[in-house]
Amino acid sequence: MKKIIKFLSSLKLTAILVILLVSILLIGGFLTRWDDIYYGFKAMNHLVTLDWFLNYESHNTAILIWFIILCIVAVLFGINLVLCSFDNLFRLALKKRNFRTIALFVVHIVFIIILSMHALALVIGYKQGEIVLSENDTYKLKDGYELRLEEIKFIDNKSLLKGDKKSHRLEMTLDSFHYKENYAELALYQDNEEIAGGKAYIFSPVFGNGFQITLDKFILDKNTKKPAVILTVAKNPLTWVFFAFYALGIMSMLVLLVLRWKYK
Amino acid sequence: MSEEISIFLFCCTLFLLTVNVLLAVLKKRKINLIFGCVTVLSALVAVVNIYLQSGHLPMSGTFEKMQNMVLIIVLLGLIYEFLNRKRDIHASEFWIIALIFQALAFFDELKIDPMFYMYDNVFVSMFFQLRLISMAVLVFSVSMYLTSFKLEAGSYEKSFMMHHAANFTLLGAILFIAGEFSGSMWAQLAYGDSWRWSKNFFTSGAMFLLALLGSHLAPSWIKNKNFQILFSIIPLLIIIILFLT
Repeated sequence: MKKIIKFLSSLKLTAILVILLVSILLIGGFLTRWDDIYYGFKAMNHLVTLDWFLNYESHNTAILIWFIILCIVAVLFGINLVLCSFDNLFRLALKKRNFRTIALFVVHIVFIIILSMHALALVIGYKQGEIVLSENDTYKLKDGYELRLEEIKFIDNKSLLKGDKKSHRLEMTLDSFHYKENYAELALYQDNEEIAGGKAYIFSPVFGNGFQITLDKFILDKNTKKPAVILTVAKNPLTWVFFAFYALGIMSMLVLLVLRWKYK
Repeated sequence: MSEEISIFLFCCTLFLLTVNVLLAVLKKRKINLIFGCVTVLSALVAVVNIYLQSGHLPMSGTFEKMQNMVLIIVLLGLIYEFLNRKRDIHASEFWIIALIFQALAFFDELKIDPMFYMYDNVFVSMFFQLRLISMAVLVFSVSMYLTSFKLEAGSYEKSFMMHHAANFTLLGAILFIAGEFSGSMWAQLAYGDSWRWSKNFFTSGAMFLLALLGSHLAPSWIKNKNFQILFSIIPLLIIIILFLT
């Protein structure tokens, strides 16, 4: 048992797992060259990952295999990180009792928390993306929620919303696209009772009752030739805690850097 | 006219860097230190010119990226050279690398991106800027490793240089993750989630892990200092290639 723990907490395993994770991530990026895989990954963003995983019919086999391998290696990496932190770094901090070893231990603990939150975010919360709505449309979400788009205000030239993805992006300069003035007025209902609502702008979502309704982008409704919007409704209780620990992680790394700067 | 000014400033910096490389090769350290200040000034004017012309700091275009990175590399190099001017370390590699990066801009159009609406958002702007700065710091770290490579085995200077190269790698990693933090805020506000299953996020994750790889290679496996340098440089080179492609 001791031998297994020694191996699982070793730096050798860390290096191997980091190399494996890097390879898996880069392979994932490479696979997006194929359209069906590109759109497969895109579809993963529309739901909480667990919901996507349980929705067997729509899976791309390559993505599924890639995802399972990623999860296995990430779990091993997590185990290695926890064991290494407590088996090596904690002992070192206790033995040496200086700021540098304590800071090194703290950095690792904060990263364990960040990684745990990442893992939790895959399975908890609520998410429904790629909701396309035109003015006065209603979208029925699961669990009795209903999203209603009351008004769209789009003051710019509608031709901006035509064209392919690249030209679309290139034409959207600050002079041609007034993102602080264009909005979608929305309301989220639960059992016919409004629980969140307001004007959603690009970069400025609507918040209410733990929900975030995000205006992803404006598009052109092909039938009516009027502007429509793509929205995401999400609820994740960990989001802002995650950001707080993320910031703490950066600061703890900075402290570690200051403590180790001088060469002795 | 504005495009001509950009190209003129670009050529000025390119010329000055070439002189810096020559002076470094000839080991004219003091003169290079003074002349380097002119290069920094030229690179700074080029970056300010990008801002004045477009209304945004250098972001994602190759030309802008290189101008910004060159400024940071030469600035760091100059400060480091000045602080260690009494040590017997001739760090010329950062001049050569800065020259290569400046020349790399030739492979793309010498143009500045317009002010896309996204650049108006502070998180988008911070994401691109911190990423650029972090890459420049990592490139500088590579130059320090290369300098330490040529120093005598077992010497104090070699260990000193390697230690600082590792520090700059960590600084680059911190700046990179600070940029990712900003990117996560951008994603949260623009897409409803702090990250996405996408090529860009996979590459960012891989880059961050690679930045930390060097510091997690157990020193006990690699006794030879030059091999330690090599294993520290390889992940950084992969990061830079991923960033540039």
